Amino acid sequence: MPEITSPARIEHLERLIQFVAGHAERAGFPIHRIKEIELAAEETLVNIFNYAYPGVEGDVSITCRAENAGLMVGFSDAGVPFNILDVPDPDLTADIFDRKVGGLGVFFVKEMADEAWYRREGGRNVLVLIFNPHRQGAEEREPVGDVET
Amino acid sequence: MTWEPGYPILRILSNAAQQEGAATHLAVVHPEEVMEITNTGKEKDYFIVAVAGRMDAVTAPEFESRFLDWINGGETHLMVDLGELEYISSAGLRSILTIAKNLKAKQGKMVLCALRDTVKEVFEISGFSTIIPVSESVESAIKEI
Repeated sequence: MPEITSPARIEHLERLIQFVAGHAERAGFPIHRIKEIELAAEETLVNIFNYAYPGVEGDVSITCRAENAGLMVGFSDAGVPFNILDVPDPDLTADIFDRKVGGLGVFFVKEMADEAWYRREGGRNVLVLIFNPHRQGAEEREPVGDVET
Repeated sequence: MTWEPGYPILRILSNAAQQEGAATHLAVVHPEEVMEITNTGKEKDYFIVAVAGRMDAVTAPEFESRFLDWINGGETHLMVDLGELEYISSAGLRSILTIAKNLKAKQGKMVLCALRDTVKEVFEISGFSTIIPVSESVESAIKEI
């Protein structure tokens, strides 16, 4: 199974997103969906970079597997026990001065992935996100580009 | 793959490298190569800026500092053309919120124009399109002044 391991540092973010996007593209996902997957990957990774290894260095590993028509992406780190899915959703109705952006990244992970699973195993946090070619539960979108109407 | 409009060239080069089994170690990408910010003019006292590329956790600080420079230099009415912005994450939203709060404290104003695709989706899902003024295009935003 394709896998990449990297120091959990921000300067590796774009390379790691590329790894996931490349697999989504090879799985034949449309561009719009690939960008949604990149977003979920970024938010997951930035959380690990910021919180998994306070005061120390550590690694993050990503696995990608095409599964039926979907893509299964696993993120694992050896950092402090932390289930990203427990973070409460931000208040999306607060006005500009009250708006707290904590939790927004995790919210996007949950919105963009069709399934999200967490487990703590062998001293590691493991988060598995499953993506279908089109985001489940998304409203019908207008087609973009040239369309005969 | 074949190139489609909106698909960044950087992505194609890196995928080609991966497929041919070449080293997958990309050099660290500098923010200027992934995001471009350009002042494209001024209209009715509004300072117009085009932001192209990607606003992610790596490039968002550059966005914030460029805009704060302009604001501290006296530009408190901003129109931001996002027609060529193809990606934004929570880091980008945070930077936009910082700029918006800074402007509000100075009785300034910012309008975000031409949001499209995933960027538009992110704004709508997060509720940001209800707290930051948005417009279909720079042209229609200028007409509304």
